[in-house]
Amino acid sequence: MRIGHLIRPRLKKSFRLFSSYNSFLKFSMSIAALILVIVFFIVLKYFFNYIAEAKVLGPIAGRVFGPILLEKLVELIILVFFFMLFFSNLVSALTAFFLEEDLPMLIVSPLPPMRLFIARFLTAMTESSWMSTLALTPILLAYQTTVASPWFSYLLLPFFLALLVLIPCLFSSGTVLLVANLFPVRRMKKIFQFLALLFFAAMVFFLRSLKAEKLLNLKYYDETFKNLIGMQIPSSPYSPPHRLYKLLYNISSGDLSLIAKELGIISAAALALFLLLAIAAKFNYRRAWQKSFETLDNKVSGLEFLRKLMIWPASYLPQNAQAIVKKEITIFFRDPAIFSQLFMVGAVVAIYAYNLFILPLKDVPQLFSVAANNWLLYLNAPFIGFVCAAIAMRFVFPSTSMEGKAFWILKASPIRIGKVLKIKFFFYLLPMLLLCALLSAFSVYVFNNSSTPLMILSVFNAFLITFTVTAFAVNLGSVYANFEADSPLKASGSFGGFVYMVISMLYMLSLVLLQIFPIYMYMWKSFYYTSGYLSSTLFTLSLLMSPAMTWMWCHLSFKKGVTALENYQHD
Amino acid sequence: MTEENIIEIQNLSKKYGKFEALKAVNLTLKKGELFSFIGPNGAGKTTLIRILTGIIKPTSGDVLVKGKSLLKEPSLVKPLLGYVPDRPYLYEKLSPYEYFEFTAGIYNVPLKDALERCDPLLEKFKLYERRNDLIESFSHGMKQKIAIIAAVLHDPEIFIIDEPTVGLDPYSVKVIKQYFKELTSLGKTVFLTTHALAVAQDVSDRICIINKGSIVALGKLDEVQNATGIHSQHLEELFLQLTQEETSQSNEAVKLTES
Repeated sequence: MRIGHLIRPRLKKSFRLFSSYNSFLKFSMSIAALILVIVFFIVLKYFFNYIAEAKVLGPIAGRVFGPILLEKLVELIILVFFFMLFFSNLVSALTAFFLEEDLPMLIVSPLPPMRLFIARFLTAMTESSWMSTLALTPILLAYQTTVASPWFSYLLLPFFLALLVLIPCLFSSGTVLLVANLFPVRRMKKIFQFLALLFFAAMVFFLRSLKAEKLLNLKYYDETFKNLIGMQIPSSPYSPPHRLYKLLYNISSGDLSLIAKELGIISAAALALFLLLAIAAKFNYRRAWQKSFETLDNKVSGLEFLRKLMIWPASYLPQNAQAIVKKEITIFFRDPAIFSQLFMVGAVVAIYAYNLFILPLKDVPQLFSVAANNWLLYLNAPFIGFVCAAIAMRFVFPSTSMEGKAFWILKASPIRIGKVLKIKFFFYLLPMLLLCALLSAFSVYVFNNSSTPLMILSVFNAFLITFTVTAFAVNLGSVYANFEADSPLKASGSFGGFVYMVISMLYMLSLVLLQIFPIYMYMWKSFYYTSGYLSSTLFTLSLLMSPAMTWMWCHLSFKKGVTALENYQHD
Repeated sequence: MTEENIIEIQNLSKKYGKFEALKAVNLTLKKGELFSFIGPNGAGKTTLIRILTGIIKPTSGDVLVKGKSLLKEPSLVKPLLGYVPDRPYLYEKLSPYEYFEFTAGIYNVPLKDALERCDPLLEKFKLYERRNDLIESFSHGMKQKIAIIAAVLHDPEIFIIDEPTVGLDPYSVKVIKQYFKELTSLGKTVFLTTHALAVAQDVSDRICIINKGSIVALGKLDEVQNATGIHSQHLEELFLQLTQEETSQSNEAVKLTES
């Protein structure tokens, strides 16, 4: 059996799943994605230009040091992506090599283990890297246009991307194969998940700690510039991320002899790594797979006290709701990835708070004013909504998918699907509103605004958005439920998760559009002390229409969710 | 509908795209009977059971349970049914006790009553000692037993079970068979599908053979023998002849159509 035969069922499955989605939806989502990529590219291009020119340093020093700063930044980006790919592939490879359901059938077949391993390596690599590759492409294009690369550099970019994906995946697959012989795989997966999330959070903190926003401010520029110039990116001339960066640099500068040399070295290294991995798989994969069965971690343990404490208030709910809420809490607390998940929430909140604190408003006098602060507080509500949507995407969106193959239990029971969705919604709404309240209180404190109505409207909007994104997460999570997903990340990282984020943003946009003119009128009134009859009427109308529009969005998504689950055809 | 009829399946059809899994099936089940529904793979057994339990919707037709429509009044009909699927996918991170509590909750059964019903069954299936372990550590057969216990927690009138003996050891099969008989003696109706024809012959009051979405035989074993003219002591021979005949007839029909 060829490797292609082993990959084809997976490809067909993905293709069928994608084909099953509504054509209009696919078209509109593709357009939305394209617009997002273009906007991302333009913003990055502007940013890279800003760095490369370093005008704040003056026309001469700026031209000398700007490109150095840009190269440092790009090397840092390559380093981040390299490790991101390494860690995300660790978890995918572990599942693909040892935990998938069809493996026993394939392992007992006469198929050479090496071929099976390579097929799984390719699928794990694709699954774990497609999103990162999509995100990296506009970054690299923006870099190449900034440094005015020759035309053939753009043609060589796919080769660079392929190597950037392949090399960390080879390292991570080798690591998985090695440690599978030493530790119980089912626990290792959880360790890797935790490590990967820890790494992402650490990376975000690291990037934030660079305080790039201080480049906006002359007062800090000198200090930041010195830090960046002197910054020691943790790399050596022989480290793969450094070599990959050198390859990108050579490709972008267009020196063909250097490109050929660097491409040759890296390709040869990748080939050698691949051969080593294939040989290791040939002699070791079957044994490692057999070992993965040795340990099952199945006893109720840890966090039981906390679980019991959390389910205690649920005892006062009606019996149906009590059953579902207790089940959700119990399963959440028994998920060994809980620490990493809670850590991520903590990291997101901390980064949000940190971002607000370091806003350069007060340091840039020409930007700072009371009115600007009021506006920023108002516009901060969708930002809080975005943070809540990101959290809901990870925790709420997969809640229906995580019913898994046990979904028949709810379907066969007398409880209506609509009621199940409502219970889930209210269960998740409480912590989401708490998070929103925390972020709102913090924002009000930081912005120190002067307009009470705008402050109230901002907090009101933040709550309205949180309410809606939670409803979207439950309802769209049902429309795009993936009962085969073995982890919440798989459910939230799907096409449905993308649709959820786009629709959440569309809702936030519609809310802002509904309110922006009345608020503008209101602000104008406060500046010019004119008769405010019209502005007050519009302001009140928009306030009344916002919940009505929100109800409509939520109701429509609820109907879609219920219909999708009622018509769901079980395998 | 007569008083003793508890389920009435009316012109039930189900299509998956162009494929017709069920073709206008009509069937009546009586209160207190043990009814076996048998057929070759892909005949439509599981589809019928899933419609009967409200998991999927039929393309046309209806199911009446005690005179109430499953499609129009699912919340009234579903409490009358207890269901065990062929593959017992359960919440793996719950223990059996927690799973029973969950089931009791969604069926609105007081927890005390539910646990009173489940404890003797846990003892019977030799799972009482494992009642607080996570279900994920259980074998297929053990999960099947947990699913069976959960299906009767709300004391349903009709017990629907898909392939009850798959993955069970001989002792458990014996216990299950006895338990079915106990249920029917209490006036409960048991509807089961199985490939274990000996089990079906052993315990059933009536049998129904389905092939390619249509019923090909229905009644007590002797009634089916008389109706078909196949006088075999074993259900297996009857089944094979009926389903193979049906298959070869349809193959002939296909050949004629093609020619």
